Amino acid sequence: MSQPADNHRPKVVLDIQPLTRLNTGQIGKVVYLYTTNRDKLQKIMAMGILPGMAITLLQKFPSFVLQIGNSQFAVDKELAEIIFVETEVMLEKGGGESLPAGRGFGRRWRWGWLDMKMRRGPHQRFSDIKKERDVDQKS
Amino acid sequence: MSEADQKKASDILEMSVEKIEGLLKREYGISKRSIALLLLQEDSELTSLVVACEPENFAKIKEIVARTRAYYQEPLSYIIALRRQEEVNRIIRSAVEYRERTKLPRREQLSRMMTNPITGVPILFIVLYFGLYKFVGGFGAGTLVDLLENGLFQKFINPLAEKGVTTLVPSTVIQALLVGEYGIITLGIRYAVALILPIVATFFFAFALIEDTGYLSRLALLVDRVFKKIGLTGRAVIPIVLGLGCDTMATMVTRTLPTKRERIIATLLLGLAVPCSAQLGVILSLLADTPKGLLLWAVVIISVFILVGYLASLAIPGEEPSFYIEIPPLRWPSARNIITKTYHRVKWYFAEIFPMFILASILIWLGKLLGIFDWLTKLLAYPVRRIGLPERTAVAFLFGFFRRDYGAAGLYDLKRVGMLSGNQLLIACVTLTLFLPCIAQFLMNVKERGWKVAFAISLFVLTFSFSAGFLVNSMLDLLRITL
Repeated sequence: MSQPADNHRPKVVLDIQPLTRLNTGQIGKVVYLYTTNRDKLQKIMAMGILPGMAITLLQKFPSFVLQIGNSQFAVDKELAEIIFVETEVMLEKGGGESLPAGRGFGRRWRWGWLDMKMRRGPHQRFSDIKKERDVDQKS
Repeated sequence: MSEADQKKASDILEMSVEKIEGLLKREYGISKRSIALLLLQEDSELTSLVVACEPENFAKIKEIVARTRAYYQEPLSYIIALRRQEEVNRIIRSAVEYRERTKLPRREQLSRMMTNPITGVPILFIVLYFGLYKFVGGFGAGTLVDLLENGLFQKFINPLAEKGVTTLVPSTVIQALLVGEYGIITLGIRYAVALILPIVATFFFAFALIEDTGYLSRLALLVDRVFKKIGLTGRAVIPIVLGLGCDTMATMVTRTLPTKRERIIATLLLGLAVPCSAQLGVILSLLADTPKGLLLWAVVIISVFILVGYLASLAIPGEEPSFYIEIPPLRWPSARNIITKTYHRVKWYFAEIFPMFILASILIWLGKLLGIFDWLTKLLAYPVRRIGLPERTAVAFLFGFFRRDYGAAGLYDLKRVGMLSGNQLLIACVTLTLFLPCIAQFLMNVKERGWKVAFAISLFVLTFSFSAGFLVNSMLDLLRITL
């Protein structure tokens, strides 16, 4: 079978969502950890779950089982939903620019841990918050 | 934040590390860079060490730490972990190559079966049936106990000790202490060596075997949701399962639970609703002729475990715990590891529990001598009557406090002479399972949780066990069930 022409290839977009929303077997790349609880952050970090790492979700019930590198961990829902991952979503084939699979993972977002005061919602970039804070402090 | 800014930001961490390295004058046995990184992460132990060793430099260091921390949005420990991970990834990329796998390896398939509830629950039952029921119950509590109890003690040691003591010691009071009905040699030592040792040793062996395959962490994730309802996490399966072997050791193992709340709930449940192996053995044989009774007993005990855990989780303040555990690859356990572990646990058990048996013998002897026992038996006779049992079972309950299985063994004698009906047997087993833990566990509760909590737990367990017995009795009457 020959490769379908470019404009017939499914369109690939990136989606950021908590690990809990992944399907079992799906791979995601950690983009940030979203919590105000330092203990929980510490636990996640202890497992080596940090932005940039690829995670495979192996199981969702009764606990979340994930694979990171060569290790497997089980975590409860409360910890799993802190981990926000970037996944590729295949849309119906259609127009627009298509990305070769895997390219989207090149982008590196550093949002990280958000302070309670700074909390604006998961889709605001950390750098923007930082800028706002700097403005606040000056005024 | 632009690329250039990011670079500068990362340099600030590096610069701070270098500055701190320059300020540190003492030798600490590890590199100054490690010290600097730990100081930046505000490691409490190391910070106090540096304060003690070079207070003159610490003010400056503290300022650098504060400035660095202010620069970053995230905690410094997070930033450092991130950098470390980047470095790890860089090294791995250049050194490790992965081959594509088309099929899951067999051990991974088995692992997935263990963690999937549909296949995992049957596997749990298989493990419990062969590991606990067949091996510990059948081989340990059956074959080995028979060999030691009937073979070694009844035939050789007891007659020999009785003969020796009666010829050497003139006083009958002292004779009773050593070789009487509850004597140190005839009861205390015999009990520890011939009854408890084989049961506990086989249990610890099975436990070490299961532990070393990596099954326990899979079990932990399987039960986490249920355990969350009772204020614990999946991690608590380790002390709870160990409690099925020896509640006293399990109470000590509750130290591994992360919060005080979890430790208190686990201690309470171990004291109330987790029967130890010695007790399980006797109860299984008591209810062996009435399978319906055995089933009802299990239903009652499991319901109590969940209900009391749930109520305790509501009553005891504290944050909801979070659960995470590593799932190591399944491995064939190594024989040497298992033997070493079993040996050390049995040794611990003996060192810790053996004196308790002796103490129990002495206390019973003293109690008999001073008449305290008769008085306590009379005191217990009333609640025992209220739950529909013959008064003579009060003795079994009283001894039950010294060893819960002493009590169960007492019931065994009553059953043999036909003094207990099927219903009464069930009530007695339920009450005795829930009844106060043995004296060793009580002392361990005091040691681990303090006097106040230990007494509160004991008082609760005492009232609860009789209330549960009363309830079971009334329910059986109400539903006109005869076993």
